[in-house]
Amino acid sequence: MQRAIRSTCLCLTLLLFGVVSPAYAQYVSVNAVRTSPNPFSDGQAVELAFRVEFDYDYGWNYATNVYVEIWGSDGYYTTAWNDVYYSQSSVEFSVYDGLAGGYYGDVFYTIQASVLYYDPEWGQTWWAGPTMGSGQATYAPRPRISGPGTLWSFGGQTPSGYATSVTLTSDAGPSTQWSVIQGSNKVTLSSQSGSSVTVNPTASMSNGHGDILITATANGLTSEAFALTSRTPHRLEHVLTDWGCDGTYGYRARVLYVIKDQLGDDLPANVPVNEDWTTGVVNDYPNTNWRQANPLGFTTENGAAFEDGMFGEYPGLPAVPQPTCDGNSQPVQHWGQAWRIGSEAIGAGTLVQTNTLQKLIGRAIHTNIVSPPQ
Amino acid sequence: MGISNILDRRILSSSVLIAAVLLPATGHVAPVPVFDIAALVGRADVVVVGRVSQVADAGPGRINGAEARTMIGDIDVDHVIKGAIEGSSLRFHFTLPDVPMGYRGVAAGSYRVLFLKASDGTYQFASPYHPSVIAQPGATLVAKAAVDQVAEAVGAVIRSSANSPMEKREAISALWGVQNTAARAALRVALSEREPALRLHAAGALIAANDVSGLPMATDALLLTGQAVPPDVLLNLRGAIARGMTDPAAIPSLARLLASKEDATRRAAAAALGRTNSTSAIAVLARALDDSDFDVRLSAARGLAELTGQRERRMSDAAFRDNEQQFIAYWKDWVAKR
Repeated sequence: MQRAIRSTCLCLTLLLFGVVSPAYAQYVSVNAVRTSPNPFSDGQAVELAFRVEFDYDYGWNYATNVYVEIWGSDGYYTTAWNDVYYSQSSVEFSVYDGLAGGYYGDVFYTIQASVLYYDPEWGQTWWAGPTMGSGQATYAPRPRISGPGTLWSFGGQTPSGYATSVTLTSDAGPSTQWSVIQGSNKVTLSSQSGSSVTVNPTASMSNGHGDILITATANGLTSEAFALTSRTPHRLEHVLTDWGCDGTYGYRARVLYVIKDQLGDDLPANVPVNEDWTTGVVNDYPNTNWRQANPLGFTTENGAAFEDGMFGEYPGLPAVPQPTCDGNSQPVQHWGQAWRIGSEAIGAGTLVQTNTLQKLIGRAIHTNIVSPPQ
Repeated sequence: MGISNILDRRILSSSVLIAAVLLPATGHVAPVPVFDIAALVGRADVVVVGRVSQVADAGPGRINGAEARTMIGDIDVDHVIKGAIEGSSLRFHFTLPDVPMGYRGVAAGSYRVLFLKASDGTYQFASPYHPSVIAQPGATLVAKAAVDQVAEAVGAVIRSSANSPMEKREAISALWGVQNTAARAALRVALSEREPALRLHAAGALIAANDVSGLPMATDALLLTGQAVPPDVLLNLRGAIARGMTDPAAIPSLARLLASKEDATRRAAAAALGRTNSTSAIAVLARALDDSDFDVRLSAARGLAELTGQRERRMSDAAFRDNEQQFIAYWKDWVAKR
């Protein structure tokens, strides 16, 4: 629409000034249209350079101005107006199509040039032209990388719901060359070339969001850096220690934790957790016969949160001492406990906490908590 | 032999607890999912309130290949919170493993909210880890939403003067962090309980639900010196503040807590300030950058990154330790120039 209106305006202008001189033949040409860089890539401005040449068979040195309009198929439009000096028979133009916001695809340019000249015989100015020219800029896209932005490490475990290796893909195809331009100590690449690459974490995790940068290069063009963050379970955040009565074991105590990664964020999805015993049972109560269960693993159902459920002892054992549920703090026995994330298998996954599991007569608690582990 | 025959032979009187019919294995310790009323209501097909009239051992069973005991129970239903049942009682089945896995039963004679799932024409616990929650007989349940009705049933335990501190404590624990009106109203009542530990437990439950009404009491308890507040009570208050308190109205109290002599208290306050999503907390957190404790300074720096929309500046513990002066200088400069 804009182009149509502009054309109409030009026609009106030409009518106003007279189309051509009735006495002389003249010509205008648009030559040497160049676009650069050509090909252009994502976000690059295209310089459109051309020369308008003109002549007429009488008094050619009386041209005064050259007027051009340029349309690009990307919606670009501009006009330019140059003075013509004595004896000049051509004018160079250079305009920039900023391709604002990024443009993907070839751009075709149309240039319309007109020359205003003075006719001493008639004592007035006339328009020569308009004459059309054209140019083209070819789009050559920089490779673009797609893939997940987060990479997880669970000490070699591969829990579902977490990407423990990620595949990055370049839209430039098999000729793509891959580079880690930042954080090369934090990831390894499965290959240096190819349309896709598998990224695996090392033992060194991200120190900040997106601190691993990867690029893809193809046909001399390099992609924008793709930012990755490698994460790992780091510590348990204590939320609640509680206890109540239990019909089977006298009491049921619970310690509620939330699993945090090394950047201080909650783990985003359900995840396997396992406990392990790091010491044997140490009895605090004389002649106690309370028993130590085997350690267990399970998968969380509330994302990063889980409870350690700790029970007393079956009174009919008969238990010595008899468990209560009144919060009685007299120690019965304790042992070392370790927590790992990433697997239900005992001892597998990332260690996030060590503590002492302390069983008391009326409840149980975690003491000597070291999280993250030293 | 049908189940009814088994029950005829084995069903026990309502006064006998599960403990009497099980031969439990070794001392019970297991990581389990967290208790979450909303999740339980969502998972259950039927949620009922009533008295568990009897529980019986119906013989051996298996859980994921492990040996277990199959249990059958009946509940006299006073109120149906979710779903529909025929008659006024309901039979339910559950399984308790011989090797402890964190599974729980219910005791005959107890008054409970049961979360049940329909399966093959029978009702089973919606969660083997959290099958039920304490409730108050005769409680008026008027809320529209099922979750709110559960909160009313549990909250009535707190309101009743007939209940023991242990029963009230169980009810408060069940409502810990529950963000609905009925739960908060009941917990606020508990702030006036006679037992200090119970009051502070209720304060923690409210704070965990992002309710500032429990914060003054908690703040006073955490700042007290030389008075015997049980360590586990203080531990829970700190956990509730660090995890649950995000209301900007808490900022003045959190600022007070930053002056505590206890590192753990200041850490909780700094963590909460960073989650208030309020620019009013920026100056307070900036002062915490000079704290003597590493974790307080780390929480302050991370909190400032959150509050100022600069999440890309959240860093790992290791990065903060290695470049602490650089991080702190950045934030001090940023705060000074804002």
